[in-house]
Amino acid sequence: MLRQICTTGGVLSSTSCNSFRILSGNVIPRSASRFNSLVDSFTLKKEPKIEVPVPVVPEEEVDNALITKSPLPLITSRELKYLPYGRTARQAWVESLDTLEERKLGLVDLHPDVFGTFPRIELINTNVKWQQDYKKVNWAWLPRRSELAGSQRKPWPQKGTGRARHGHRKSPLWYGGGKAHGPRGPKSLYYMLPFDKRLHGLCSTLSVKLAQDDLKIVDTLDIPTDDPKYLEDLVDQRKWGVSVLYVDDSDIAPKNLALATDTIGHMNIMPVYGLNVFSMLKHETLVLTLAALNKIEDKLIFHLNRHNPFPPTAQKIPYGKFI
Amino acid sequence: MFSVTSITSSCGSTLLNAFKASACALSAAFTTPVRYRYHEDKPAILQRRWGYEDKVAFRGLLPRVQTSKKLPMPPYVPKNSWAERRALFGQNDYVDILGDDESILPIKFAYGVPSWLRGFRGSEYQMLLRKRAVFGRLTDPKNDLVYNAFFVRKRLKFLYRRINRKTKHFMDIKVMHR
Repeated sequence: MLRQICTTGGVLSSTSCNSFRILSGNVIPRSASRFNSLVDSFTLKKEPKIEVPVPVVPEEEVDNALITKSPLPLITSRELKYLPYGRTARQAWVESLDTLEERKLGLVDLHPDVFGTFPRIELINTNVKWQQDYKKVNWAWLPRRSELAGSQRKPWPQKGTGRARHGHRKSPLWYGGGKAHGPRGPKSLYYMLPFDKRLHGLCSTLSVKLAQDDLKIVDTLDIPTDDPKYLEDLVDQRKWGVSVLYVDDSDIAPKNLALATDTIGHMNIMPVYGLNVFSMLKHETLVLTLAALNKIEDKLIFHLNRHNPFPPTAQKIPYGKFI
Repeated sequence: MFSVTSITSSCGSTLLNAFKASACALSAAFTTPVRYRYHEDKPAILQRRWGYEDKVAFRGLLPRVQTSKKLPMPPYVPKNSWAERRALFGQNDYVDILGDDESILPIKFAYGVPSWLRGFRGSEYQMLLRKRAVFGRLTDPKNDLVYNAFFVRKRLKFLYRRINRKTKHFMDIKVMHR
């Protein structure tokens, strides 16, 4: 909630502005106490009844004169779609990567359907298992007796030699013979996890991350230097754990962050569409920008409330259609 | 008391061959009365299993000494769990949910899987049918490495007969998962 005070003809009027806005620098919202003291000072000035017309000061100048220091944190509001009745929004601090020390810029609301669901661990496990398995191919292959090279002559006569009876050298009984029931050919282990399971798997994992204080929200991914030491110190100071996953809305990461994380294996950058259950669990801390947060929440809330019983990925890939 | 080294030096230089040294040791050993000879002073050649080296160390904590023959096992090299392909594993698996285009399927990015197997799962018979449909019925020298039409045809013929004539029903679980 942001209040702006405008002076119009000596009369003070406050207008509230509900838009989602983060103020930068020293600009801050005015608290109610400051507002009252301001009114008092004006009324005291009017008591001597000196008829001096109150000058119309531009809005910006008033702001600069009255607002001195920023009493962070600053509370921001977000519009949450399809908010279930009777459920309150989860909240998280907005931080900044500008400084080594943690500096709270504000507080954002998070949708309870995405960041406050029941942590279904079995669903998370199902998702991870699917991620590991659906791309696997078992290449094990052993030849049958018909696929081996060699003669099919009877090695020795049936009777009279004193040896065991044999008809082929490629029989499975023989050393170097064929395999009777061996593994055959490339066997694909592909299967598609149902759409809803993957959707709820994402929501469960995000909720788990938030509940365990492993989900951090920052304004942008801009850092002052491209030194890897800076990132390591920052993570160490804020106790974010060793491994961090930075997620941003755009495909192109900021130059400084890209250079800094290039030599650090356990700090990685991903776009929003690259977010997945496995990576969220592999990295200890998940850092989302505000833009990424908006996009992730939009997508998940849309799919959670959609009225399409057959999402595209739930359909089977038809036989003979090669991707 | 005699020892092996003293005997060899007395017989001549240490550069003499082993046979000569052992002969000297033998002669000295047999000239000494046995009752005045301790076990530890016994010539090595008279000991049991002379010349045999134990591969296992009977003293100490380790089963073998460092200088002995190494086991036929590669040295342990820990894998880098944050190599790029492991650190970013699975980053396209939810692209249809979180991305802008719903028609893009995650399996499209499974580059480790051959293209004709992507998005497919089936028995050996179904796999071979699909393979034949992709690479063609005729043998082509270009496809020799991945596809041998002769064996595929032979195998398909065998599987067709087994599934349709020998088994109870071709949709049996045993057959489908073979």
